[in-house]
Amino acid sequence: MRYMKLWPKLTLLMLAIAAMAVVACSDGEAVEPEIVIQTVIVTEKGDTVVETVVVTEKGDTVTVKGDTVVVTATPVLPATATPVPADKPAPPSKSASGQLVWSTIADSGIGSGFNAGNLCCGAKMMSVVETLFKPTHAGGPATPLLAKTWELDSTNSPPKYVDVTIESGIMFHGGYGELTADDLVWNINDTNPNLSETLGTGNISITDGSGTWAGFLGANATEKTGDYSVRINWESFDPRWDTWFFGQDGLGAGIVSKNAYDTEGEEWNQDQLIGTGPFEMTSWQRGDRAVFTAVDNHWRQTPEVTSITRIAVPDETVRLAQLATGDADIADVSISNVSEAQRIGMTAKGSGAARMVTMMFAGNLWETNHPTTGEELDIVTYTHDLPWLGNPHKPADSNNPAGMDDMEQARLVRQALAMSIDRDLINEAALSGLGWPVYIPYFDINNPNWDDKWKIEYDPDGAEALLDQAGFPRDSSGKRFSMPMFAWPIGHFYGEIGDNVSIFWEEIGVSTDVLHYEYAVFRPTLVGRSATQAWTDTGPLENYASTPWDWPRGIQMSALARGGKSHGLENPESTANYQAVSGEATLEGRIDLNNGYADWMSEWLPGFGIVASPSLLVFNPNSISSWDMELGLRQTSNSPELIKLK
Amino acid sequence: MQKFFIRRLIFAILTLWSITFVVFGLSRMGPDPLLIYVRDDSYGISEETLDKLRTKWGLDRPFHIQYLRWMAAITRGDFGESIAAQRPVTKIIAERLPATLQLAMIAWILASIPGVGLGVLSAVKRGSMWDYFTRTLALIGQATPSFWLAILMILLVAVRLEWLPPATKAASTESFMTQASYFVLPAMVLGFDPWATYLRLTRSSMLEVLDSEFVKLARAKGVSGKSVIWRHALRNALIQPLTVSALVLASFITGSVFVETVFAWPGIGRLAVQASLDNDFPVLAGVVLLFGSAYVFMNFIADVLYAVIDPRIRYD
Repeated sequence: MRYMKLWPKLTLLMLAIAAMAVVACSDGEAVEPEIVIQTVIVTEKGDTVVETVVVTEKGDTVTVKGDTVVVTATPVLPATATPVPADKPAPPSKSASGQLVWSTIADSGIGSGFNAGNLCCGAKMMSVVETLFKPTHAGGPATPLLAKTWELDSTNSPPKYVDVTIESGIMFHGGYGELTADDLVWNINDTNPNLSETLGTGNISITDGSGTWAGFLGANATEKTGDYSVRINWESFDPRWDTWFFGQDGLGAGIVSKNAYDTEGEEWNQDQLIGTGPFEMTSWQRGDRAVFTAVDNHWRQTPEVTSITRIAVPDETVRLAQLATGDADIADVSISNVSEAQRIGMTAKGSGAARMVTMMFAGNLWETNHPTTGEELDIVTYTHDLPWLGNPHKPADSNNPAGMDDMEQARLVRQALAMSIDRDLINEAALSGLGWPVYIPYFDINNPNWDDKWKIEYDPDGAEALLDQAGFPRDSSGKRFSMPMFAWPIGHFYGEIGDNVSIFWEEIGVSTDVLHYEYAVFRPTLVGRSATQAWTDTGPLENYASTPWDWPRGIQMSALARGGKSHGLENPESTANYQAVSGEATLEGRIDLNNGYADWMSEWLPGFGIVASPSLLVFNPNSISSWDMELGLRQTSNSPELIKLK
Repeated sequence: MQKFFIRRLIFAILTLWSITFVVFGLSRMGPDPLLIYVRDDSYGISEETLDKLRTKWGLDRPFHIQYLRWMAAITRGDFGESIAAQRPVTKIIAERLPATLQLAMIAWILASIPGVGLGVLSAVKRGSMWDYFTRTLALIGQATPSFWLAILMILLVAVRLEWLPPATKAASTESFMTQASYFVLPAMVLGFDPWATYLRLTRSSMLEVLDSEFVKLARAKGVSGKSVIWRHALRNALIQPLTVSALVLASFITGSVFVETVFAWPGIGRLAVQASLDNDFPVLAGVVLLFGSAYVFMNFIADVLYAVIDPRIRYD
């Protein structure tokens, strides 16, 4: 009983702790949000116009080239997100004037070193290194960056080389001299795994798409033809040569200084990036942060920002906390948290890149011989008769309905699975409505070339009918068959999408075992061509919504990718399309070929689309007044030199 | 005593050897070990190139030869090169280790001094409000998962109260006070559970010592209360907390994975997480061996300390 007198005090203590928790979790006062404009593509007098205009909302009247038109289309490249009312105003920045702190997901976003850094993403995204071209989204020729003039080989069809002349007087950072043809030759040849003597020798895993580079360039060296001009020779023409292989948001070939490499050696260069861009990387603590300092009097665009410090912060909640306290001015956030950032007063922005999340039916290996070597392919996936895998090698197995072969049976199953999901609902649930539906891999609904005949309507009754037709009726427990689905770890964006899809599949009687584990564990089965389950992912590099319609598609559904990772899919149609589009010289021809590929994809569905997730970052409007990025292909952001400070 | 040392040393070496065997063995359990070295963007690589890589990394040799070569390299301090960064693993670990050690030391100070102090207070004021308060806190400390506590502290202390920065380690160019402020939250979260352990251990040891005959004798002889507590009782009660300290320090080094990840602390714990996500086997192997070595070494120190501090303990 003597303890009873302590209860009031203990109760008070507990109340105090509870009060602290309530304070921590409570909200502030609401204020009016800023209106964010959207970028859309419009339809003009019945014809689709590939013009980007800025409007305040769908349905507005705008003027394009003197003609007044009404905005009718869904935003094609949602560089900005729909505004969400802010609960409180954005905090003042804690950074010094002109300096910005960027809370980013991981150090890998900055670049993994000299090799990958000069080729890949972070260094180009931060405008440290520059490339020959910038991409355009309509397809066709790119916009020049370092390149001044260029001329494609007109004697061969398709072309075998391109002659490029670069601007003169462009200086490397750190006093390493002027950019010349010698730098270009050294960089491009070292980018080529077949020729590299310094950067990528045998280190196949460090470059961005080294296998693609190897296939594109072959063993053909780039030659110097003048102080500022080179001839780039390639093995197989690729219509994306300018935008994808030499473009700022493509595979790479960001140009670094040969002089710095010769003078300072490889080890020193592994920690430095000596480029020509508007920002210089002045400090880099691996795994932690990198400082990008503006270059004075840059040849192209002198930044208004003095410096940007990118700090790797793995936990998204903490990145949001840094925004809320003003410790960070810019942050990477997932699509589901964009609205949360907007509620604390942040502005959302993106380059227009959007991932098209797809469901792939790995194990459908329909090619028998390697497309280039002719060797017989080792097929290991048809040891069991799985409803979603069509076996072209044994089309008449025991469980097929009369008159239906195994390929058709599996095709109906995949059609049913694709029809059973409500894409709009998944968009609302997983992407807060910021995305849009995707029906077939590689092809975005907002592109002017999209045709609604490829659309897959949400039709669970129709899906059930197809499964009945395919010979998979419900049993006494209501179940038709079981199937596994790899869906990344719990908490991962793809994991959430996978869980959503499984709910719809369960509704039509398909019992789904959603497998949540690390991709690193699943990946070897893709490389080894032994995966037999459905899996969700963004898929190949070209599976971004902004990918120009004329680009070659299908290499990761082709045995061309043997030796490396693919979707776990191989079919002759994808191989043929990739090779045909790559060899087609005209824009119209490439678009026609891809339209045919979309027809095939829509019918056979080796994979199907779910939703497109726009890549967005958020920033503090008290630090940044505007950031008009270049339109991106795959990176969330670009061109920090275009940031306008508040 | 000598026999004891030798026996502990042999056990430590055997444990370390087991760790290397498990780490290496797991990396070779897949269908093709090359797949752990080849990353996402590598499609289009010919079989010829892959064979060259197998030869380059010795993956074409029998398992026991690969293991012996790997062990030979490790004994020379050569953990190989990181697949992701193409840099020596030893160099990468050396760059990240100081941040972890700094955080561990500060967390250890924050855990041990208040933990022992409050443990003494709780024992001396047994049954009082102080006793219940500190015991309740200790219970909370041991029951609270660090990842949850970390987020709550960030939300409360950094976002709501704006007393401290929410995360990361300050740049070395910042002032001492600024740099120190970035240590507080992660060190508190890291040290919260061990702090509770110290408190409970010290309290129970103190209660036991305070009830012992020599303390009663000291009191009977008229030794002052303070002197009895701090000079006689505490010195004897500290044996357990002191020996546990070695393990606590080891746990700070190895158990900082969550805290470093949440607070974006550029240490070994985060390196381990990133290496796992990158499928970077050489780095992961280096970190796991470091963690294992830290535990084995600290366990060894704890055993030895125990024997040295308390002469009654013999392992023969």
